[in-house]
Amino acid sequence: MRPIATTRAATGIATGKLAVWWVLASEVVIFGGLLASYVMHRLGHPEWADAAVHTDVRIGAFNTFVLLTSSLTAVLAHQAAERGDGKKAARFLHFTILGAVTFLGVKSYEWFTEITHGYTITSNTFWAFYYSAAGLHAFHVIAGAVIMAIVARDAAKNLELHRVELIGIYWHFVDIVWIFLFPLLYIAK
Amino acid sequence: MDAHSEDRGGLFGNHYVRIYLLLLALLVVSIAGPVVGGTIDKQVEIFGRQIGLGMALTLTTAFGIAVWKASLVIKHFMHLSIERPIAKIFLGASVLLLALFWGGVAPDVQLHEGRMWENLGAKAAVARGLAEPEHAEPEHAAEGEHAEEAAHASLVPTHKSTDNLLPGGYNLAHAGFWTVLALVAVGTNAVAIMLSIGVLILIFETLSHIPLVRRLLGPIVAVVMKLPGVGKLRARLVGAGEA
Repeated sequence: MRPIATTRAATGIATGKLAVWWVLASEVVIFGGLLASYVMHRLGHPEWADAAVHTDVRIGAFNTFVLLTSSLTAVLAHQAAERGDGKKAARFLHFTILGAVTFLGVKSYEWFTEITHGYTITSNTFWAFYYSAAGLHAFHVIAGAVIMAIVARDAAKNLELHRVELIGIYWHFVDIVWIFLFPLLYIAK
Repeated sequence: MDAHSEDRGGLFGNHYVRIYLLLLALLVVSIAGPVVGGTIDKQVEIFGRQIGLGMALTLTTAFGIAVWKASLVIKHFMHLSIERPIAKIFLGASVLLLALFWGGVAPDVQLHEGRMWENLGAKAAVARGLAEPEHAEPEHAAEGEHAEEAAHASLVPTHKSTDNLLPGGYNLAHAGFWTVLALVAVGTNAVAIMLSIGVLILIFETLSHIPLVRRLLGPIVAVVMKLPGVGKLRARLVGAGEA
């Protein structure tokens, strides 16, 4: 019997992929609500610029580069899985995990620097939004990396290759969230 | 994915690598735009409003390119453009809900006055923050070179002065907190509704694999499918090939 995630649903999409799209639809509301709140307050409070000026655009840009690169390796893993090459797909997924670890390492350094300079989540509302949004995103990066490690373990044995695409779709969404967080928190000061 | 997965030889022959390079180029522009925009003081008139050219360049390159980058990732990496229509409907419904929340809440949060009301506390917070930017600094960042300013700031009740920023005694942090909470609460409801529908679909899907259920529900489904417009709707959602 085929796993239910690979069977075609009444909707015409494999059940597993349908579930991923559902999750992403809910994530749109969660991240969207947070970012919409930030934008509304930021537009109403020009004085936040004094706090926003302390975020480091170089670090934000480097992490954007890292996530874009990890999205490339995720889609290359999908491409390899489509061709039935599980080992290659697993290798690309491992590169993606490396991207996640690099992103989190850089983020940790950035937060450590900011916190030691006194910019904490309770400093003011800008920093509260900054840590909430970036923290929620980092949590998604950690979750994605863990799931990807599980998928890569099976993919290396040429098992459950359809999951490579599913985790890839999730990972690209995490990338898209950062694509919007970057200009909001680092550029438009 | 088939159309995108063709390699034309070499690393740069790969469709995904070319999209990636375009994304990197856009990243560079999104960083350079605000740098250039910061050096331009010129004002331009658009639809009767004076707008700073530098600010317009900054916002266009920062957010315009973010939208472009996101659309490239959605189309070429997530393959949403070749996905079944129902996936687009899920995501489109989420974005629509978000736009509704935003549109409903924005006038109260983003603006500090309307035709019948004025948020004096928020206006005062903006004025105070702009007049004394060191308020935006954290408390102990005021040590050292800012010590003198901090001493002056302590003469005016900086922290306590935020107590009545909004009518009803809410301060700015409360306003932010409740706005987020409201959006998350409504968003959570929306998520719950969507996930419930999703779970229902999965339950029906699972049940449909049981022969007895198929036999029992089969005639009912057949009748429903014959209703005017149902077959057409299913064909639209699922795609012509699957209907």
